[in-house]
Amino acid sequence: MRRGRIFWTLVAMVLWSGGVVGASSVDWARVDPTLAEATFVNDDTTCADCHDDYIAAYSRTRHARAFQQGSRGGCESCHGPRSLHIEDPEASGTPWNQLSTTSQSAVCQQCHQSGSRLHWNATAHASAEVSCSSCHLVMERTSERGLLIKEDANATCYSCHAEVRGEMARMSHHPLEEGSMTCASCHDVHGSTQPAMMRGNTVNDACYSCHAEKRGPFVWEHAPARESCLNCHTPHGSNQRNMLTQKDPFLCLTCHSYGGHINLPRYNRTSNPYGSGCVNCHITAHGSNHPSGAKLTR
Amino acid sequence: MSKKTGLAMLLVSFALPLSAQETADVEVDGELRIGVEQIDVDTNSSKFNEYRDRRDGLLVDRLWLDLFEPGTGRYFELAGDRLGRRDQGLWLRAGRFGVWDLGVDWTETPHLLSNKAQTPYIDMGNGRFEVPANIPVIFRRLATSGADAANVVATDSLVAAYLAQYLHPTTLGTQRDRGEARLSFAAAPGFDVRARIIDEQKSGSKLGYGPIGDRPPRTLNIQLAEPVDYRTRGVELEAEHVGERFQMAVAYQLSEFENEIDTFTWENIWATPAPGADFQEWDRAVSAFGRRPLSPDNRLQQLTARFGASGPWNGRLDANVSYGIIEQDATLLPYSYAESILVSPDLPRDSADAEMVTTHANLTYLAKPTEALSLRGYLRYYDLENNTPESQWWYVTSDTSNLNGTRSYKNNRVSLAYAFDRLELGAEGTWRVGPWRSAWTVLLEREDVARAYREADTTEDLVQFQWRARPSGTVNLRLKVAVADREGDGYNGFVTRESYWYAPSAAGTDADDPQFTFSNHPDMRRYDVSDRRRETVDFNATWTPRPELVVSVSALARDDDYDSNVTPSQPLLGTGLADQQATSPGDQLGLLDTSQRRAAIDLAWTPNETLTFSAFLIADGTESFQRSLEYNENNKENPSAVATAELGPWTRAESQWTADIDDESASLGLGFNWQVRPDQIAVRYEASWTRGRTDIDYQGFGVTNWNGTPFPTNHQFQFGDAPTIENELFRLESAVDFPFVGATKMTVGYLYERYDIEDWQQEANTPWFESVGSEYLLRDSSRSHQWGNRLVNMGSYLAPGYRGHLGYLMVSYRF
Repeated sequence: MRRGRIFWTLVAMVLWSGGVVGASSVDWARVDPTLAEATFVNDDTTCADCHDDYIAAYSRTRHARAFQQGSRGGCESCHGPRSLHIEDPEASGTPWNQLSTTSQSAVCQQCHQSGSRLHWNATAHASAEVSCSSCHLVMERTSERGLLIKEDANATCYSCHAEVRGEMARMSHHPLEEGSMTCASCHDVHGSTQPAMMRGNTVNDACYSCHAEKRGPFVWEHAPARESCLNCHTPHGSNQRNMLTQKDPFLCLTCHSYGGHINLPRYNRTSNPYGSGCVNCHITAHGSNHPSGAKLTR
Repeated sequence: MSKKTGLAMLLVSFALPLSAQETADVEVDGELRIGVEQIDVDTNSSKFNEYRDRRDGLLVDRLWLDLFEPGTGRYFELAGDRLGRRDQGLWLRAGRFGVWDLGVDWTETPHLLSNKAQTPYIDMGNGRFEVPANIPVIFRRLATSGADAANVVATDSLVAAYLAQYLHPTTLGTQRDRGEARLSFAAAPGFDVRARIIDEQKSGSKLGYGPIGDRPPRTLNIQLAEPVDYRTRGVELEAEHVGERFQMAVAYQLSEFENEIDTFTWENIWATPAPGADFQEWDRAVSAFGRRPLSPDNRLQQLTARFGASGPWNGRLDANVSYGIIEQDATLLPYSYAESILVSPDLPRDSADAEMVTTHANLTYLAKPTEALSLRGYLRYYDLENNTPESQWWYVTSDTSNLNGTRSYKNNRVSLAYAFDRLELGAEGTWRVGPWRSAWTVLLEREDVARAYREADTTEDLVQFQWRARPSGTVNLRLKVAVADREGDGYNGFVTRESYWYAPSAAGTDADDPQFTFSNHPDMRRYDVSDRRRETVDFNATWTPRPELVVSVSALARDDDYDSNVTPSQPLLGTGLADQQATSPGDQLGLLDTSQRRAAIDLAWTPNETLTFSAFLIADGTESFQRSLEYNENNKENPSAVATAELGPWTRAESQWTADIDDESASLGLGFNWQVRPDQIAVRYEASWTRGRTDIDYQGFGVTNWNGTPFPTNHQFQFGDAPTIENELFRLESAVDFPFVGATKMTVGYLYERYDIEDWQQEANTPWFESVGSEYLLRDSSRSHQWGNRLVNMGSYLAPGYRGHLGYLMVSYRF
């Protein structure tokens, strides 16, 4: 029932939205009202006459190179019409950092609206008034990839999410510090509309992209694991093995009290307080295909 | 092709464009950094190289080549790090601006788990592990009858001697090699097509266990290396239109996971039938091998449509819909490896086929009726439909069995097709008004989760207030306060009954009849489906007193209260049993509350163009509190029969225990980068320290018997405050860059690491278990004769602490 309603709503929205038009454009008068009367000069050499200090560093960026391809644009593609500024250099318009973050991003979205960025405006980042230039520095190449404000993606994210750096330094962690992963391996910072801007449709989708062996489906499912890996794991880092949220066997004991050996951290066997706790025997905690897998011991 | 050959070819291909150098037609940038590393680590700990490959020898640390042809807009960029090592990375990007773009990534990631693990097992290939000999066990009894102390001691000695003779080192760890290629092509103005191919291999071994038998303490168990040989391949195809009024994309994803080793088979170390004898000599039938299936091959297919368009009120509609199928049809193993000696029924179906269908939809509408007001409404829907057949199985006590194959009625189990769907509806309004350029946001969200075969559906209502302000050009403030209330709808603690398929008469007079009584204790509330009230306060401030100085401070307080209004209940009421008035204590069991406190400060200071300082301090503590109750599961119907027994009734509040777990982390970092002579001489320094601590305050049953009598430490139920778990990592790295020969630069660097760990689950330093003649044979200190009381393991602290020094010397040439 829910599915049908959602489908027809989408169809109606597509029909309502109208025809196909060319590339996106930006309303400069709306972005910066001081540019309302200005016109495009379309001559980057004029800009370079005064701003050559920026040009050297800028020229080696992907932006500069893309803009060299005629139709892609030039300085005014991002800085707006500058005829008034050329007539009077003091009339420099509203400084970039005083534009609203929506306006800043709208400028970038002229070209960068493809891929997941299609949903940028609906993201938690946009809602929190993060703009493209919060993370990207387009005038200079300071990172190997992505024209980021810091040397790499993780450092860029930590500049706002400092607490995650501390979590990632814990004993059990994903290999971000070692450079094999970045925050963007799990988070789609440009276009996810999911909680925590996760990649995929669920947290588990993001996890399965590297841990496909846990994707199943299994004959014997462990229901909390199927619903969310976060029920037992804390992927930003943990003081417990395997990024568990809590010390084994206490983690298992928060849900299981069938009596006997299930109910105590120790019960006459080494397996409970040693090694992996309950998982020493209930080893297929992510699901089992064994005919006798009901208790996830095989 | 070996890594060395590949590396040589890469360097040659790198040298060709170098020889051309930059011409008027092509811009060339690049860097080559080659050097040597030398390490000195006092302990051969896998932790030192957990996710990396630092070792003595030559190294191509960095390779980068960037070619651009301004006339045509064609580009080619190739970069690599740590080439030839197990943690190498390579990426390539080529294309022509506005026409096509190709990206290729290759990432290798080791995950080293132990360098010191020992095992008697020999890998015979294809997941089969055998031992060179079996232990001639004197004490053969696996049942619960009285122990023969002399034979127990003798057997333990034999096991220790066996291990001394046959243990050999085995590396635990995996290597993940992942390749990804992306191609995008501008097919027409506003219309792009994209393709992505992924190929990933992961191989090696991980820490595993080999249980043989029905359940502890009768289970034989052993710690051993479980083989890993995975391959995941994927293709994603996408077509996209980007227009001014709307954007739309359709994508298809196929991902196939293949496990090259389907089955894990391990020999029973303990015994093998003596010539002329068989397992009948034992109280239980024991298989010569244990076996279980490993992760099955599986396939995911998903079709996604995404859409975005402008709308009224300066608005924007975003929508996406996905439909996916996850499936597998692995071959079923028989119930037991030892079919010849156990009564092994026919399987209820031919294969382990399973299928899940997922539907996801997301709608967001964002409007800005005025510059001061933003409105956002959203709907998120996810449905996981489980089409896996529900079958009736035996829980055959697999490879050891009471009375050689018969099974309890309780072991007739149904595989339930768990499923759920989640609907989230949210409305958010932001009003920019008031002093300090304030923005006030209110978010209301409702989440409904409906579940099949779980104890409860849940509804959670969230109210969140957020205030953002810029009191001055140098200060940004953000305060977020949220309250969320989750209600578990009519918690059904009896849902587990559906996982049994025996006829009620089969239970006979057994006082543990899970279909008739309950499985989980009636007072238990599973935290993921219980009531929960969550209160969060999150504060963040950024101060930029001068352009060169940025100070960020953040603090978080989050409290989760899982109080679900549990009251005393009478689960046997109406059954006609003598004990039907039996009443549970009514104290909620399970996770009761958690409380997190976090503070962080981050500083970045660039006093001038040549000097950069950074520092951070993060402290985080989470306290959680849980309760449980120990009871005899064999007396669920007649708890009064064990009213004063040590392993007593489920009605007895005095058998409760609690654990207050305090988990703390702290991280501190300092660093600077000083360009002593810009682009000539530079000094870098980074130091960080991280410590994690976990304390468990354990009270109640286990410390004492139900009547308050302290349990001696060698009592089978005795437990108490666990020793503090602590790990600490200090890392310091410093390097100096200076001009070398010609246009080259030399870097001399030094890295020091100190890692310490203490964890009572990794060594026999508690009163609860002890080594018996060998570090690799552990025994519960209650010294039971039962087999679950012993564990042959791969060694304590598989990844122990270390002190490591690493020196490196690199020469780089940049052009």
